[in-house]
Formats: sequence, C-alpha cells, structure tokens
Amino acid sequence: MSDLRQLEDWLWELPRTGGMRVPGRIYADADLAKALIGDESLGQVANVATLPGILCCSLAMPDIHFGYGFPIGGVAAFSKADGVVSPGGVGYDINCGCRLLATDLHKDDLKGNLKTVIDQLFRDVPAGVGASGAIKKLSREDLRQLLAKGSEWAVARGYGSKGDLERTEDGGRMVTADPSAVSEKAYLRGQDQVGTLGSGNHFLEVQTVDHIYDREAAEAYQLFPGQITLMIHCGSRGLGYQVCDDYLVIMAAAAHKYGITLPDRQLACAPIESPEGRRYLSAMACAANYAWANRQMIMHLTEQALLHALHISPKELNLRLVYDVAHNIAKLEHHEDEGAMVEVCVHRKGATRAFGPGRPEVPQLYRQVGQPVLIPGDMGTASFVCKGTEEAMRQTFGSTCHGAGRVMSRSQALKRAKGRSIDEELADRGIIVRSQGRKTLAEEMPEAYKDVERVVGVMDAARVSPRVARLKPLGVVKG
Amino acid sequence: MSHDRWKSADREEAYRQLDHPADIFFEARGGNLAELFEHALLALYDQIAELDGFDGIGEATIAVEAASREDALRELLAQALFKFESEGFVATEGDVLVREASDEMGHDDCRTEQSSPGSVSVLARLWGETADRTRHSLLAEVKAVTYHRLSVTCLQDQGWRSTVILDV
Repeated sequence: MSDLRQLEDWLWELPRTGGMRVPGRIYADADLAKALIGDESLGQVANVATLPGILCCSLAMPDIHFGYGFPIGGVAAFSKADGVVSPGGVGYDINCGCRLLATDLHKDDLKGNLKTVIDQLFRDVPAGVGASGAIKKLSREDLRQLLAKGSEWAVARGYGSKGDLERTEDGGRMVTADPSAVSEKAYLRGQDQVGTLGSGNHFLEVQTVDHIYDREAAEAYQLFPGQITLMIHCGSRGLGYQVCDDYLVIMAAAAHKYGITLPDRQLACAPIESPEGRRYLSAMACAANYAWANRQMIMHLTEQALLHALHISPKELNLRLVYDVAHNIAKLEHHEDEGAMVEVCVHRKGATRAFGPGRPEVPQLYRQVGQPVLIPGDMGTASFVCKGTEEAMRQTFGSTCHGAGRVMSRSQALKRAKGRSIDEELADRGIIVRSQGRKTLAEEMPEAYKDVERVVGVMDAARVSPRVARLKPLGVVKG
Repeated sequence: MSHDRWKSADREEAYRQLDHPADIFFEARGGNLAELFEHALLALYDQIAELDGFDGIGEATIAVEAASREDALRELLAQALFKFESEGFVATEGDVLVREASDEMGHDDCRTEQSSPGSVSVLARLWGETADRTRHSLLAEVKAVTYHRLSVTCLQDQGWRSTVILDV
C-alpha cells in the first residue's frame, strides 16, 4: 500500500506531503484500504488537509468514495478562530439524512399484506424526478417560515408531535438559519418539493429487526427482535442543491479575496468568521431545516399510508420516531483539541454524528447510552443502528460512517445490470421493490455498494460506533 | 411548427459518456463554440428525459455572461437545469450564440484561439415543452453541474471539446 501507513487494524495514515497541513486518517480494514489505492478519493483526503485551520487530521470513514471537493465519507474540523467553512465539505444535498421509525408491529403481522403496504407507500409518498404535490405548493412566506423553523414548522401544522422534535438531531431546527441568505432560485426549486423523497439513492424502506448486538442500547432505543421499522433516507431536494451551487460561486470569489489557495475549485471556502462564511452557514442551516421538515412530512405520509393499508388504529401501529440524523452538514461544536475544549466547525460529508453518553446535544432519553447512529446499507443487504461513544469524541470529532459507500459508478452499474431484472432478483431474496425511475434500480443494485457489514464492522472495531441492531429490508420504495 | 431537431440528432457526433466514479461524466464535441455548447445542452437534456416524448412547442431563452469559456458553459447548463427544476422545461431544440470579447480582435475559430477570451457571453434560444409526469419519461434527477474536470479546449483542426460532470 504505497502511500498509506497502517496505524491500527482499522486505521491508516496518509502522511503529510506537499501543502498538507495535517495528515490524513482513513478508517478501513486491510481489504477496504487496498481497494483505495489509486482512487481519486485519497487525493481528496489530501486536498482537504491543505485547507486553513484544519485540526488534527483530514478524516475519512470506511465508506469513503469520490465526492466533489471533500470525498464522501470525509470528516474535517476547522478552528472557529482561524479555520474555514466550505460548501464542498457538506455537499449538494445539504442534510441528506436518515430517519428511523419504530412500530409495535411484528414481521408476522405483515405476512400476506406486505405487498399491499409497499404499494400504498409507493402511491402516497411522492418520489422520482420532478415529484411534487405531497402538500399544497407553499407560499413564499410559508417557505420562509419552514426554512427558519424546520421540523417545528411541520409539527405546528399537525405533521407529527412535539416528541418527534426531541428525537431529531438539533431538534430538527438549526437556529442559525437566516432565510434571507437563500437565493430566489433556491426558493423556486424548493417551493413544490416538500414531502418528496427525490431520486438516486433516496428511499423509504420497510424493515425488520433481525439481530440485536447491544441489549441495553436496543432497549433504550425501543427496538426488539422481529419488530417492523421504517427508514426514510432523503434530503433538502432542489433547494439544498441550489444553495450549494450558489455558494460555490460566492466562496470561489471569497477564497481569492482572503488569499486561500485551492487545490480544487469544489473546495471553495471562506473563513468561518468572515461575512461570506457566516452567510453560507446561515443558508446551509435553512437547507438543513428544509430537509428535517421534509423527512417529518414523509413520516406523516408514511403513517397515513400504513394505517390505510393495514386497517389498524394509530394506537395499534404506534409509529414513533427513534431518531433522525444528518449525513451532510457543517456544524459549530465544542471538541477537545490538544487538551483544551475549543469551538470548531465540523464538516461531515457522508458521515454521521456519533456523540457519546453525557453530551448535552444527545436527547435526554438516550443520554445514558449515547445517540442512535443510523447507517443505511444497500437495498438488498441490511441497515444498522449503532451508538455514539466517548471514543468517537476522542478519535473523530464525534463522527462515524453513513452507509455502505459506492464501489461502482452509476454507468458501471448500468452496464453490469444489462439484461438482468434487479427487482426480480430482489424478489427472489424476499424483498419487494417499487421504483419510479427505470434506471434507478440498476444504478442502485446491491453490488454497486461496498459490503455494509464490513464498513460498520470497522467503526465497531474502532469502538467509535458499536453495533446495536441490524435491520433487514422487506420492501423498498425508490425514486 | 414544432422545433424538434434534437430528437433526431446524431448523439455519437454530439457527445459521449466517459467512465468516472462520479455520477455522469460526458465529453461534448463541436465544430465551433456555439455547436459545442449546443451539444452539451443536448447531453444534459438526454440525462433528464426521453426527448422523444416532448414537442418543441414552447420557447425559452437563457443569457449568460462569464469570465471564461468553462464558466460560461457551466452557467448555461446550470440555468437550463434550473429551468427544468423550477418550471419543468425540457428542450428539444436549441440555437446558441457565443460571443467573446476577443472576437473583436478577429478571433473566430479554434485555429486562432486566444489564450484568454476575455468575457464570454452566451445567448441560447431553446424550444421545448413543460414536463408532465403522466405522459413523459423522466430519467435522472440532476442535482448540479459541477466544476470537477470542467473543461473547454480547442483541438485545432478538429474543433472544440468539453468535459462536464453532473451530480445526480
């Protein structure tokens, strides 16, 4: 492994070279590390390490793969005093994230009617390119309110309960949001898309808990073997994409203004405390709030669809939010650096916050065990619930992986799927799939992803985010 | 009259997809800059929708001013994407005009390429239709036109080449 130095069974260092201010650190087992040699994503880890104010190291989780600017699976913390914030460290789909819903149903309760449930979800939750109409097109003022208040906006309109807010990262609302920092274009792209899944790797999945690894944490998260759960994976839709696009232009000019040398234009950035940096964080917070409101709305649509398909009462279903986490976000947090607590801007791009026990940001009901970490896998394998730890606070600024991570480009996947019927292959494995897009299933087929068990296993071995439960897919709705 | 020239355009001549771990990576070709930009627009719309089902009965215009050819191309595509995302507009034909500040100095084609074109203005007149999910086939949700590997290069006697990566 030419340029990677092994530090532990599960940790590798990319030594400082050229303009790197800090080394890179990549979480991977030997096989995952080997597969990275020659991959463009390693160069992206090195590029991130050149940015001003970066602390400790340019981190990458085991699901690392090519991204724009930062790699996907990239984590980096920058000193608030002299560091930068970069839209390329968050990504186009701001607060793309994951929400886990638990029910009182057992998988046996869906025997014979799983297909009815999936078809109902497919009908009621808008998905795919150009999807809209989950709710009436928002007025500009309504959208402004939504951007400022996030999930609170949705709950105040009857889409969910106050308890949901407590079970959402940041309470589903970043208070730093300033709707005036969001462009007219972003407003127009977002106006009609609230409550829609989108396309690509976004999904709504019916699952069952098939293994418990940590009984104490599973109990705290109210998960039990055989239980039916649902997972929602989506983000801030066109509004978030446009915010990123707008600020890449602004930040390119800002980087020039502040004399920051960029190894890649997608890493355009500005000092956190500069007007441009603060304004990006305010706009990004709006997009993050949009994503939380979006997932809150989809949860409501999901509940309605389940009640309708199963002819049961809300009490019998007892649909509740376990937790909602962001996978693409930049946040000001307090972390230890060289023995002192400092305020830093942590960029998590394709990474999950994994705060351990006792942190005030973790909801009271999970504070004893650490926050739930939700890691979706590919649609044929499994997803995982893990827990945040003290070790994560020490090693990774309280962060871990976010999914399996692509191993094949979309075009490679399309070639590989030629002549095959991915939905029939999944049906043979007992998984019902419904998709709006003709190409989506091929692009998203299980073998296009790394082995999620292995990815999650690395972070478990590193004691950063130990496994709590494994969730097996029963049915999937795709865009 | 319906403007549908792109429906029967020779894709192989206009652009081709390249392999890259990123999402959609294409290379467009053109005899001149205007044709190059038109072919890049076609490549974008081919990712978004099956153009066969659309008719060129509506019209839209995109005007772009940029400091470089690369920025002009990216902004043109980004604005076309925005028109699709906000209004559902999908084009089946387009005419593109490109004007560079250096044109006044006699710059005309690839062979006399200036190292810096000065400012670049693009005016694209597009014909197409608003997408309707009940009767049109939509393919991929393009999130953005990225800067990664964005290029516009002159190939001397072989015209112009550009590379673009779309995030989907």
